[in-house]
Amino acid sequence: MASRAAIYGRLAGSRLRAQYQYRFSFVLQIVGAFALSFLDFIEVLVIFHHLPALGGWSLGEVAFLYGSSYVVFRFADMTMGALDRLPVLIRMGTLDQVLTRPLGSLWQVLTTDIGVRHVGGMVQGGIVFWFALTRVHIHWTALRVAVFVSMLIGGAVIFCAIWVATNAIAFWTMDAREVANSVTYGGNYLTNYPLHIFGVWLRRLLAYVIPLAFVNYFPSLYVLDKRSPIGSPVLRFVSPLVAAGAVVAAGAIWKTAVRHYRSSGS
Amino acid sequence: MLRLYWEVARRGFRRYATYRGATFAGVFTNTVFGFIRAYVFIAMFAVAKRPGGYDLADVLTYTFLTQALLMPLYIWGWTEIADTVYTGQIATDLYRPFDYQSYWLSQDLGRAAYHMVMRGVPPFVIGALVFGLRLPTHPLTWVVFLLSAALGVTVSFALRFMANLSAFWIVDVRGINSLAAAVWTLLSGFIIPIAFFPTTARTIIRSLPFVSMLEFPVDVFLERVQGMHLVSTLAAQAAWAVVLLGAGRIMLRAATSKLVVQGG
Repeated sequence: MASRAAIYGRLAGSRLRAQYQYRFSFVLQIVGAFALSFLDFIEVLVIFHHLPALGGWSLGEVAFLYGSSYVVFRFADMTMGALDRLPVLIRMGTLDQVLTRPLGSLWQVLTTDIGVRHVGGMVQGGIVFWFALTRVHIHWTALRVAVFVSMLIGGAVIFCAIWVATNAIAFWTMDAREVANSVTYGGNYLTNYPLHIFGVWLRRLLAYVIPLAFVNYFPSLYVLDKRSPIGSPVLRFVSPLVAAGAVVAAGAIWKTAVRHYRSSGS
Repeated sequence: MLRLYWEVARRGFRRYATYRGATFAGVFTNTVFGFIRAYVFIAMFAVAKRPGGYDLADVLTYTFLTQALLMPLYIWGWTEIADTVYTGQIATDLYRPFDYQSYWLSQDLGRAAYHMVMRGVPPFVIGALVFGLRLPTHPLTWVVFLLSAALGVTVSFALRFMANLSAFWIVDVRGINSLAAAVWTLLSGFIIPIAFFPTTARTIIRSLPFVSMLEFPVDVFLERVQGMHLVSTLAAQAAWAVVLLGAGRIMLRAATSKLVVQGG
Protein backbone atom coordinates (compact mmCIF):
# COMPACT_ATOMS: atom_id res chain seq x y z
CA MET A 1 0.00 0.00 0.00
CA ALA A 2 2.82 2.36 0.96
CA SER A 3 4.64 1.61 -2.26
CA ARG A 4 1.48 2.24 -4.25
CA ALA A 5 1.22 5.72 -2.72
CA ALA A 6 4.89 6.29 -3.58
CA ILE A 7 4.29 5.33 -7.20
CA TYR A 8 1.25 7.61 -7.36
CA GLY A 9 3.36 10.43 -5.91
CA ARG A 10 6.09 9.86 -8.43
CA LEU A 11 3.73 9.76 -11.43
CA ALA A 12 1.91 12.87 -10.21
CA GLY A 13 5.24 14.63 -9.65
CA SER A 14 6.33 13.98 -13.21
CA ARG A 15 3.08 15.54 -14.48
CA LEU A 16 3.65 18.63 -12.37
CA ARG A 17 7.20 19.05 -13.65
CA ALA A 18 5.98 18.62 -17.23
CA GLN A 19 3.37 21.36 -16.82
CA TYR A 20 5.83 23.66 -15.12
CA GLN A 21 7.99 23.64 -18.25
CA TYR A 22 5.55 26.08 -19.90
CA ARG A 23 5.83 28.56 -17.06
CA PHE A 24 3.86 31.46 -18.55
CA SER A 25 0.94 29.26 -19.50
CA PHE A 26 1.14 27.48 -16.13
CA VAL A 27 0.88 30.71 -14.14
CA LEU A 28 -1.76 32.11 -16.49
CA GLN A 29 -3.91 29.00 -16.02
CA ILE A 30 -3.78 29.30 -12.23
CA VAL A 31 -4.60 33.03 -12.38
CA GLY A 32 -7.31 32.27 -14.93
CA ALA A 33 -8.90 29.61 -12.73
CA PHE A 34 -8.78 32.03 -9.80
CA ALA A 35 -10.48 34.83 -11.76
CA LEU A 36 -12.92 32.43 -13.41
CA SER A 37 -14.23 31.09 -10.14
CA PHE A 38 -14.46 34.55 -8.60
CA LEU A 39 -16.78 35.56 -11.43
CA ASP A 40 -19.17 32.87 -10.13
CA PHE A 41 -19.31 34.55 -6.75
CA ILE A 42 -20.45 37.77 -8.43
CA GLU A 43 -23.74 35.97 -9.08
CA VAL A 44 -24.20 35.51 -5.32
CA LEU A 45 -23.30 39.15 -4.64
CA VAL A 46 -25.70 40.44 -7.31
CA ILE A 47 -28.55 38.30 -5.92
CA PHE A 48 -27.93 39.67 -2.41
CA HIS A 49 -27.92 43.19 -3.84
CA HIS A 50 -31.70 42.71 -4.08
CA LEU A 51 -32.51 40.87 -0.85
CA PRO A 52 -31.33 40.32 2.75
CA ALA A 53 -31.72 36.53 2.77
CA LEU A 54 -32.15 33.74 0.21
CA GLY A 55 -34.32 30.87 1.41
CA GLY A 56 -33.76 32.23 4.94
CA TRP A 57 -29.96 32.24 4.59
CA SER A 58 -27.89 35.43 4.86
CA LEU A 59 -25.06 36.42 2.53
CA GLY A 60 -22.50 35.18 5.06
CA GLU A 61 -24.25 31.83 5.34
CA VAL A 62 -24.57 31.34 1.59
CA ALA A 63 -20.91 32.37 1.26
CA PHE A 64 -20.16 29.64 3.82
CA LEU A 65 -21.83 27.07 1.54
CA TYR A 66 -20.18 28.54 -1.55
CA GLY A 67 -16.71 28.59 -0.01
CA SER A 68 -16.92 25.06 1.36
CA SER A 69 -18.32 23.76 -1.93
CA TYR A 70 -15.61 25.45 -3.97
CA VAL A 71 -12.65 24.32 -1.90
CA VAL A 72 -13.66 20.66 -1.93
CA PHE A 73 -14.96 20.65 -5.49
CA ARG A 74 -11.79 22.18 -6.91
CA PHE A 75 -9.73 19.71 -4.92
CA ALA A 76 -11.70 16.89 -6.56
CA ASP A 77 -11.37 18.59 -9.94
CA MET A 78 -7.60 18.79 -9.50
CA THR A 79 -7.10 15.17 -8.45
CA MET A 80 -9.85 13.52 -10.53
CA GLY A 81 -10.02 15.87 -13.53
CA ALA A 82 -7.91 13.47 -15.62
CA LEU A 83 -10.99 11.27 -15.89
CA ASP A 84 -12.27 13.80 -18.42
CA ARG A 85 -9.67 12.32 -20.74
CA LEU A 86 -10.96 8.77 -20.38
CA PRO A 87 -12.79 8.77 -23.75
CA VAL A 88 -9.55 9.85 -25.45
CA LEU A 89 -7.56 7.11 -23.71
CA ILE A 90 -10.13 4.53 -24.79
CA ARG A 91 -10.29 5.76 -28.39
CA MET A 92 -6.50 5.93 -28.78
CA GLY A 93 -6.05 2.47 -27.29
CA THR A 94 -3.86 3.92 -24.53
CA LEU A 95 -6.07 2.28 -21.94
CA ASP A 96 -4.85 -1.14 -23.11
CA GLN A 97 -1.34 -0.22 -21.97
CA VAL A 98 -2.73 0.93 -18.64
CA LEU A 99 -4.46 -2.40 -18.05
CA THR A 100 -1.32 -4.43 -18.71
CA ARG A 101 0.68 -2.63 -16.02
CA PRO A 102 0.79 -3.93 -12.43
CA LEU A 103 -0.83 -0.85 -10.86
CA GLY A 104 -4.53 -0.07 -10.35
CA SER A 105 -6.13 1.26 -13.54
CA LEU A 106 -7.81 4.16 -11.73
CA TRP A 107 -4.55 5.47 -10.27
CA GLN A 108 -2.85 5.36 -13.63
CA VAL A 109 -5.66 7.22 -15.38
CA LEU A 110 -5.69 9.84 -12.63
CA THR A 111 -2.01 10.58 -13.07
CA THR A 112 -2.31 11.24 -16.80
CA ASP A 113 -3.14 14.82 -15.83
CA ILE A 114 -3.01 16.79 -12.59
CA GLY A 115 -4.98 20.01 -12.95
CA VAL A 116 -2.78 22.30 -10.88
CA ARG A 117 -4.68 25.29 -12.25
CA HIS A 118 -7.52 24.35 -9.89
CA VAL A 119 -5.34 25.53 -7.04
CA GLY A 120 -6.50 28.95 -8.25
CA GLY A 121 -10.13 27.91 -7.74
CA MET A 122 -9.36 26.49 -4.28
CA VAL A 123 -7.68 29.74 -3.25
CA GLN A 124 -10.72 31.71 -4.38
CA GLY A 125 -13.03 29.34 -2.49
CA GLY A 126 -10.80 29.79 0.54
CA ILE A 127 -11.07 33.59 0.32
CA VAL A 128 -14.88 33.43 0.10
CA PHE A 129 -14.86 30.97 3.00
CA TRP A 130 -12.77 33.36 5.09
CA PHE A 131 -15.16 36.19 4.17
CA ALA A 132 -18.06 33.97 5.32
CA LEU A 133 -16.40 33.15 8.64
CA THR A 134 -16.00 36.86 9.42
CA ARG A 135 -19.74 37.42 8.84
CA VAL A 136 -21.39 34.48 10.57
CA HIS A 137 -21.31 33.85 14.30
CA ILE A 138 -20.42 30.29 15.09
CA HIS A 139 -20.42 29.05 18.67
CA TRP A 140 -17.45 26.77 18.36
CA THR A 141 -17.60 23.62 20.46
CA ALA A 142 -15.52 20.47 20.13
CA LEU A 143 -18.38 18.78 18.28
CA ARG A 144 -18.82 21.75 15.93
CA VAL A 145 -15.12 21.69 15.08
CA ALA A 146 -15.36 17.95 14.44
CA VAL A 147 -18.41 18.34 12.18
CA PHE A 148 -16.74 21.26 10.38
CA VAL A 149 -13.54 19.32 9.67
CA SER A 150 -15.40 16.15 8.69
CA MET A 151 -17.57 18.26 6.35
CA LEU A 152 -14.50 19.40 4.40
CA ILE A 153 -12.92 15.95 4.24
CA GLY A 154 -16.21 14.17 3.58
CA GLY A 155 -17.21 16.73 0.95
CA ALA A 156 -13.95 16.27 -0.94
CA VAL A 157 -14.28 12.49 -0.78
CA ILE A 158 -17.91 12.57 -1.97
CA PHE A 159 -17.03 14.78 -4.94
CA CYS A 160 -14.09 12.51 -5.86
CA ALA A 161 -16.37 9.47 -5.71
CA ILE A 162 -18.99 11.22 -7.88
CA TRP A 163 -16.27 12.04 -10.38
CA VAL A 164 -15.14 8.43 -10.65
CA ALA A 165 -18.64 6.93 -10.74
CA THR A 166 -20.04 9.27 -13.40
CA ASN A 167 -17.01 9.30 -15.66
CA ALA A 168 -17.05 5.49 -15.76
CA ILE A 169 -19.97 5.97 -18.20
CA ALA A 170 -17.26 6.41 -20.84
CA PHE A 171 -16.64 2.63 -20.77
CA TRP A 172 -20.15 2.04 -22.12
CA THR A 173 -20.65 5.04 -24.36
CA MET A 174 -18.01 7.55 -25.24
CA ASP A 175 -20.09 10.49 -26.43
CA ALA A 176 -22.26 10.57 -23.36
CA ARG A 177 -19.70 11.79 -20.91
CA GLU A 178 -21.19 15.27 -20.84
CA VAL A 179 -23.87 13.75 -18.60
CA ALA A 180 -21.15 13.56 -15.93
CA ASN A 181 -20.88 17.37 -16.04
CA SER A 182 -24.44 17.74 -14.82
CA VAL A 183 -23.54 16.15 -11.48
CA THR A 184 -19.92 17.31 -11.15
CA TYR A 185 -20.05 20.95 -12.28
CA GLY A 186 -23.81 20.98 -11.70
CA GLY A 187 -23.17 19.58 -8.21
CA ASN A 188 -20.69 22.35 -7.49
CA TYR A 189 -23.30 24.92 -8.51
CA LEU A 190 -26.10 23.25 -6.57
CA THR A 191 -24.07 23.08 -3.35
CA ASN A 192 -23.40 26.84 -3.50
CA TYR A 193 -26.98 27.38 -2.32
CA PRO A 194 -29.12 26.03 0.54
CA LEU A 195 -30.60 22.76 -0.64
CA HIS A 196 -34.20 23.39 0.47
CA ILE A 197 -34.72 26.04 -2.24
CA PHE A 198 -34.58 23.34 -4.94
CA GLY A 199 -37.61 21.43 -6.18
CA VAL A 200 -38.40 18.14 -4.54
CA TRP A 201 -37.55 15.88 -7.50
CA LEU A 202 -34.30 17.63 -8.28
CA ARG A 203 -33.43 17.30 -4.59
CA ARG A 204 -34.22 13.60 -4.50
CA LEU A 205 -32.09 12.93 -7.54
CA LEU A 206 -29.11 15.19 -6.95
CA ALA A 207 -29.03 15.34 -3.18
CA TYR A 208 -29.89 11.82 -2.10
CA VAL A 209 -29.33 9.43 -5.04
CA ILE A 210 -26.18 11.43 -5.88
CA PRO A 211 -25.34 12.36 -2.28
CA LEU A 212 -24.66 16.07 -2.85
CA ALA A 213 -26.71 17.04 0.23
CA PHE A 214 -23.96 15.63 2.43
CA VAL A 215 -21.16 17.63 0.81
CA ASN A 216 -21.97 20.73 2.82
CA TYR A 217 -25.68 21.41 3.37
CA PHE A 218 -26.48 19.07 6.25
CA PRO A 219 -23.20 19.55 8.17
CA SER A 220 -23.53 23.35 7.68
CA LEU A 221 -26.96 23.26 9.32
CA TYR A 222 -25.26 22.04 12.47
CA VAL A 223 -22.18 24.27 12.29
CA LEU A 224 -24.26 27.41 11.58
CA ASP A 225 -27.06 26.26 13.93
CA LYS A 226 -29.77 26.64 11.28
CA ARG A 227 -33.27 25.18 11.13
CA SER A 228 -34.23 23.39 7.94
CA PRO A 229 -37.59 22.47 6.43
CA ILE A 230 -36.11 19.23 5.13
CA GLY A 231 -34.28 16.19 6.49
CA SER A 232 -34.02 14.74 10.00
CA PRO A 233 -31.46 16.31 12.42
CA VAL A 234 -29.53 13.04 12.46
CA LEU A 235 -28.52 13.66 8.83
CA ARG A 236 -26.31 16.55 10.01
CA PHE A 237 -23.78 14.09 11.39
CA VAL A 238 -23.65 11.34 8.80
CA SER A 239 -21.50 12.93 6.09
CA PRO A 240 -18.43 10.78 6.92
CA LEU A 241 -20.54 7.62 6.63
CA VAL A 242 -22.05 8.79 3.36
CA ALA A 243 -18.54 9.59 2.09
CA ALA A 244 -17.35 6.08 2.98
CA GLY A 245 -20.38 4.57 1.25
CA ALA A 246 -19.78 6.74 -1.82
CA VAL A 247 -16.20 5.48 -2.08
CA VAL A 248 -17.31 1.86 -1.93
CA ALA A 249 -20.02 2.46 -4.53
CA ALA A 250 -17.68 4.38 -6.86
CA GLY A 251 -15.04 1.66 -6.54
CA ALA A 252 -17.58 -1.03 -7.42
CA ILE A 253 -18.83 0.96 -10.42
CA TRP A 254 -15.29 1.51 -11.67
CA LYS A 255 -14.42 -2.20 -11.34
CA THR A 256 -17.59 -3.25 -13.16
CA ALA A 257 -16.88 -0.70 -15.87
CA VAL A 258 -13.30 -1.88 -16.41
CA ARG A 259 -14.47 -5.49 -16.56
CA HIS A 260 -17.05 -4.45 -19.15
CA TYR A 261 -14.35 -2.76 -21.25
CA ARG A 262 -13.51 -4.32 -24.61
CA SER A 263 -10.51 -2.90 -26.38
CA SER A 264 -11.16 -1.03 -29.62
CA GLY A 265 -8.37 -3.23 -31.02
CA SER A 266 -6.41 -0.35 -32.52
CA MET B 1 -18.71 32.63 -54.12
CA LEU B 2 -21.79 32.96 -51.88
CA ARG B 3 -22.74 29.48 -52.99
CA LEU B 4 -19.43 28.18 -51.62
CA TYR B 5 -20.05 29.72 -48.18
CA TRP B 6 -23.57 28.29 -48.20
CA GLU B 7 -22.15 24.82 -48.84
CA VAL B 8 -19.54 25.32 -46.10
CA ALA B 9 -22.33 26.29 -43.68
CA ARG B 10 -24.31 23.20 -44.62
CA ARG B 11 -21.26 21.01 -43.99
CA GLY B 12 -20.83 22.74 -40.62
CA PHE B 13 -24.41 21.78 -39.78
CA ARG B 14 -24.06 18.19 -40.92
CA ARG B 15 -20.70 17.65 -39.29
CA TYR B 16 -22.15 18.07 -35.81
CA ALA B 17 -25.21 15.99 -36.66
CA THR B 18 -22.98 12.89 -36.61
CA TYR B 19 -22.68 12.79 -32.85
CA ARG B 20 -26.14 11.73 -31.67
CA GLY B 21 -25.09 10.40 -28.26
CA ALA B 22 -23.25 13.61 -27.50
CA THR B 23 -26.30 15.62 -28.47
CA PHE B 24 -28.53 13.65 -26.15
CA ALA B 25 -26.05 13.89 -23.26
CA GLY B 26 -25.67 17.61 -23.88
CA VAL B 27 -29.41 18.24 -23.85
CA PHE B 28 -29.66 16.37 -20.57
CA THR B 29 -26.87 18.42 -19.01
CA ASN B 30 -28.15 21.79 -20.29
CA THR B 31 -31.61 20.93 -18.93
CA VAL B 32 -30.36 19.88 -15.48
CA PHE B 33 -28.38 23.13 -15.23
CA GLY B 34 -31.50 25.02 -16.33
CA PHE B 35 -33.48 23.43 -13.49
CA ILE B 36 -30.84 24.22 -10.86
CA ARG B 37 -30.58 27.85 -12.00
CA ALA B 38 -34.37 28.17 -12.19
CA TYR B 39 -34.82 27.20 -8.53
CA VAL B 40 -32.20 29.73 -7.42
CA PHE B 41 -34.17 32.45 -9.21
CA ILE B 42 -37.48 31.17 -7.79
CA ALA B 43 -36.00 31.51 -4.29
CA MET B 44 -34.69 34.97 -5.21
CA PHE B 45 -38.03 36.18 -6.56
CA ALA B 46 -39.85 34.93 -3.48
CA VAL B 47 -38.18 37.88 -1.71
CA ALA B 48 -36.95 40.38 -4.33
CA LYS B 49 -39.42 42.85 -5.82
CA ARG B 50 -39.14 42.96 -9.63
CA PRO B 51 -35.34 43.37 -9.84
CA GLY B 52 -34.32 45.08 -13.09
CA GLY B 53 -37.99 45.11 -14.19
CA TYR B 54 -38.09 41.28 -14.43
CA ASP B 55 -40.94 39.22 -13.06
CA LEU B 56 -40.65 35.51 -12.29
CA ALA B 57 -41.88 34.37 -15.72
CA ASP B 58 -39.29 36.69 -17.35
CA VAL B 59 -36.38 35.34 -15.33
CA LEU B 60 -37.36 31.69 -15.84
CA THR B 61 -37.64 32.30 -19.57
CA TYR B 62 -34.27 34.06 -19.42
CA THR B 63 -32.82 30.99 -17.65
CA PHE B 64 -33.91 28.42 -20.24
CA LEU B 65 -33.24 30.75 -23.16
CA THR B 66 -29.64 31.28 -22.02
CA GLN B 67 -29.26 27.52 -21.53
CA ALA B 68 -30.57 27.10 -25.08
CA LEU B 69 -28.21 29.70 -26.55
CA LEU B 70 -25.17 28.34 -24.72
CA MET B 71 -24.18 25.81 -27.38
CA PRO B 72 -25.01 27.98 -30.42
CA LEU B 73 -22.74 30.68 -28.93
CA TYR B 74 -20.02 28.07 -28.27
CA ILE B 75 -18.21 30.26 -25.77
CA TRP B 76 -16.23 27.46 -24.12
CA GLY B 77 -13.26 25.59 -25.44
CA TRP B 78 -13.26 26.13 -29.21
CA THR B 79 -9.62 25.83 -30.37
CA GLU B 80 -10.02 24.52 -33.92
CA ILE B 81 -8.13 27.40 -35.57
CA ALA B 82 -5.47 27.42 -32.85
CA ASP B 83 -4.96 23.70 -33.47
CA THR B 84 -4.28 24.35 -37.17
CA VAL B 85 -1.71 26.95 -36.14
CA TYR B 86 0.13 24.38 -34.02
CA THR B 87 0.01 21.66 -36.68
CA GLY B 88 0.90 24.04 -39.50
CA GLN B 89 -2.27 23.14 -41.37
CA ILE B 90 -3.18 26.84 -41.39
CA ALA B 91 -0.52 27.52 -44.02
CA THR B 92 -2.42 25.42 -46.58
CA ASP B 93 -5.78 26.77 -45.43
CA LEU B 94 -4.59 30.33 -46.07
CA TYR B 95 -3.61 29.35 -49.61
CA ARG B 96 -7.09 28.20 -50.55
CA PRO B 97 -9.03 30.41 -52.96
CA PHE B 98 -11.57 31.81 -50.51
CA ASP B 99 -11.62 34.38 -47.79
CA TYR B 100 -10.24 32.69 -44.68
CA GLN B 101 -12.41 34.47 -42.10
CA SER B 102 -15.62 34.16 -44.17
CA TYR B 103 -14.96 30.45 -44.57
CA TRP B 104 -14.77 29.89 -40.81
CA LEU B 105 -17.69 32.22 -40.15
CA SER B 106 -19.90 30.24 -42.56
CA GLN B 107 -18.80 26.99 -40.98
CA ASP B 108 -19.56 28.38 -37.53
CA LEU B 109 -23.01 29.68 -38.51
CA GLY B 110 -23.87 26.23 -39.87
CA ARG B 111 -22.70 24.68 -36.62
CA ALA B 112 -24.69 27.21 -34.60
CA ALA B 113 -27.84 26.42 -36.60
CA TYR B 114 -27.43 22.75 -35.74
CA HIS B 115 -26.83 23.50 -32.07
CA MET B 116 -29.82 25.86 -32.01
CA VAL B 117 -32.18 23.18 -33.30
CA MET B 118 -30.81 20.12 -31.53
CA ARG B 119 -29.25 21.52 -28.37
CA GLY B 120 -31.24 24.72 -27.93
CA VAL B 121 -34.85 23.80 -28.58
CA PRO B 122 -35.17 20.67 -26.35
CA PRO B 123 -34.04 22.24 -23.03
CA PHE B 124 -36.27 25.24 -23.74
CA VAL B 125 -39.29 23.07 -24.49
CA ILE B 126 -38.74 20.99 -21.33
CA GLY B 127 -38.34 24.20 -19.31
CA ALA B 128 -41.53 25.59 -20.86
CA LEU B 129 -43.48 22.43 -19.99
CA VAL B 130 -42.28 22.34 -16.40
CA PHE B 131 -42.11 26.03 -15.48
CA GLY B 132 -44.51 27.64 -17.98
CA LEU B 133 -42.18 30.07 -19.76
CA ARG B 134 -43.14 33.34 -21.45
CA LEU B 135 -43.45 33.11 -25.24
CA PRO B 136 -43.45 36.17 -27.52
CA THR B 137 -46.92 37.68 -27.97
CA HIS B 138 -46.10 39.08 -31.41
CA PRO B 139 -45.34 36.44 -34.13
CA LEU B 140 -42.76 38.71 -35.75
CA THR B 141 -40.71 38.60 -32.53
CA TRP B 142 -39.69 35.02 -33.37
CA VAL B 143 -38.15 36.16 -36.66
CA VAL B 144 -36.39 39.16 -35.12
CA PHE B 145 -35.14 36.93 -32.32
CA LEU B 146 -33.53 34.52 -34.82
CA LEU B 147 -31.85 37.46 -36.56
CA SER B 148 -30.64 38.83 -33.23
CA ALA B 149 -29.36 35.38 -32.17
CA ALA B 150 -27.50 35.01 -35.50
CA LEU B 151 -25.84 38.39 -34.91
CA GLY B 152 -24.98 37.19 -31.41
CA VAL B 153 -23.29 34.09 -32.83
CA THR B 154 -21.37 36.31 -35.28
CA VAL B 155 -20.08 38.50 -32.44
CA SER B 156 -19.17 35.37 -30.47
CA PHE B 157 -17.37 33.96 -33.51
CA ALA B 158 -15.43 37.21 -34.06
CA LEU B 159 -14.19 37.10 -30.46
CA ARG B 160 -13.31 33.38 -30.64
CA PHE B 161 -11.54 33.95 -33.95
CA MET B 162 -9.21 36.44 -32.27
CA ALA B 163 -8.69 34.29 -29.18
CA ASN B 164 -7.69 31.43 -31.50
CA LEU B 165 -5.30 33.57 -33.53
CA SER B 166 -3.42 34.39 -30.33
CA ALA B 167 -1.88 30.94 -30.93
CA PHE B 168 0.51 32.71 -33.31
CA TRP B 169 2.07 34.46 -30.34
CA ILE B 170 1.52 32.07 -27.40
CA VAL B 171 2.57 28.44 -27.00
CA ASP B 172 -0.64 27.29 -25.34
CA VAL B 173 -3.96 29.10 -25.89
CA ARG B 174 -5.89 27.23 -23.20
CA GLY B 175 -5.04 29.73 -20.46
CA ILE B 176 -6.11 32.77 -22.51
CA ASN B 177 -9.17 30.91 -23.77
CA SER B 178 -10.49 29.96 -20.35
CA LEU B 179 -9.88 33.45 -19.01
CA ALA B 180 -11.66 35.01 -21.99
CA ALA B 181 -14.56 32.56 -21.73
CA ALA B 182 -15.02 33.41 -18.05
CA VAL B 183 -15.18 37.13 -18.78
CA TRP B 184 -17.56 36.61 -21.72
CA THR B 185 -19.95 34.41 -19.71
CA LEU B 186 -20.31 37.02 -16.99
CA LEU B 187 -20.38 40.15 -19.16
CA SER B 188 -22.69 38.70 -21.83
CA GLY B 189 -25.35 38.21 -19.15
CA PHE B 190 -25.18 34.43 -19.04
CA ILE B 191 -24.51 34.01 -15.32
CA ILE B 192 -27.10 36.54 -14.16
CA PRO B 193 -29.18 39.12 -16.08
CA ILE B 194 -27.25 42.35 -16.61
CA ALA B 195 -30.45 44.16 -15.51
CA PHE B 196 -29.83 42.87 -11.95
CA PHE B 197 -26.49 44.65 -11.62
CA PRO B 198 -26.20 48.00 -9.79
CA THR B 199 -26.70 50.99 -12.14
CA THR B 200 -23.05 51.92 -12.71
CA ALA B 201 -21.93 48.36 -13.40
CA ARG B 202 -24.89 47.92 -15.75
CA THR B 203 -24.01 51.02 -17.77
CA ILE B 204 -20.38 49.96 -18.13
CA ILE B 205 -21.23 46.36 -19.09
CA ARG B 206 -23.77 47.47 -21.70
CA SER B 207 -21.21 49.69 -23.40
CA LEU B 208 -19.06 46.58 -24.08
CA PRO B 209 -19.60 44.19 -27.01
CA PHE B 210 -20.38 41.09 -24.92
CA VAL B 211 -24.06 41.87 -24.28
CA SER B 212 -24.56 41.63 -28.06
CA MET B 213 -23.99 37.88 -27.78
CA LEU B 214 -26.66 37.06 -25.24
CA GLU B 215 -28.47 39.82 -23.39
CA PHE B 216 -29.74 41.50 -26.56
CA PRO B 217 -31.25 38.36 -28.14
CA VAL B 218 -32.88 37.52 -24.79
CA ASP B 219 -34.30 41.05 -24.49
CA VAL B 220 -35.71 40.70 -27.99
CA PHE B 221 -37.36 37.39 -27.11
CA LEU B 222 -38.84 38.76 -23.89
CA GLU B 223 -40.07 41.80 -25.88
CA ARG B 224 -38.32 44.07 -23.41
CA VAL B 225 -37.04 46.12 -26.36
CA GLN B 226 -39.59 47.41 -28.85
CA GLY B 227 -39.99 49.98 -31.64
CA MET B 228 -36.98 52.26 -32.10
CA HIS B 229 -35.22 50.61 -29.19
CA LEU B 230 -35.47 47.29 -31.02
CA VAL B 231 -33.91 48.82 -34.14
CA SER B 232 -31.07 50.36 -32.14
CA THR B 233 -30.44 47.04 -30.37
CA LEU B 234 -30.04 45.16 -33.66
CA ALA B 235 -27.93 48.02 -35.03
CA ALA B 236 -25.61 47.81 -32.01
CA GLN B 237 -25.21 44.06 -32.54
CA ALA B 238 -24.47 44.51 -36.24
CA ALA B 239 -21.99 47.31 -35.51
CA TRP B 240 -20.10 45.21 -32.96
CA ALA B 241 -20.07 42.27 -35.39
CA VAL B 242 -18.50 44.45 -38.11
CA VAL B 243 -15.97 46.07 -35.76
CA LEU B 244 -14.86 42.78 -34.18
CA LEU B 245 -14.66 40.91 -37.48
CA GLY B 246 -12.57 43.82 -38.80
CA ALA B 247 -10.28 43.61 -35.77
CA GLY B 248 -9.93 39.88 -36.45
CA ARG B 249 -8.87 40.58 -40.04
CA ILE B 250 -6.21 43.03 -38.88
CA MET B 251 -5.00 40.44 -36.39
CA LEU B 252 -4.91 37.78 -39.11
CA ARG B 253 -2.81 40.06 -41.32
CA ALA B 254 -0.37 40.72 -38.47
CA ALA B 255 -0.19 36.98 -37.76
CA THR B 256 0.41 35.89 -41.36
CA SER B 257 3.11 38.50 -41.86
CA LYS B 258 5.17 36.63 -39.26
CA LEU B 259 4.18 33.18 -40.51
CA VAL B 260 7.12 31.15 -41.70
CA VAL B 261 6.29 27.85 -43.35
CA GLN B 262 8.85 25.12 -42.81
CA GLY B 263 9.68 22.90 -45.75
CA GLY B 264 7.39 22.47 -48.71
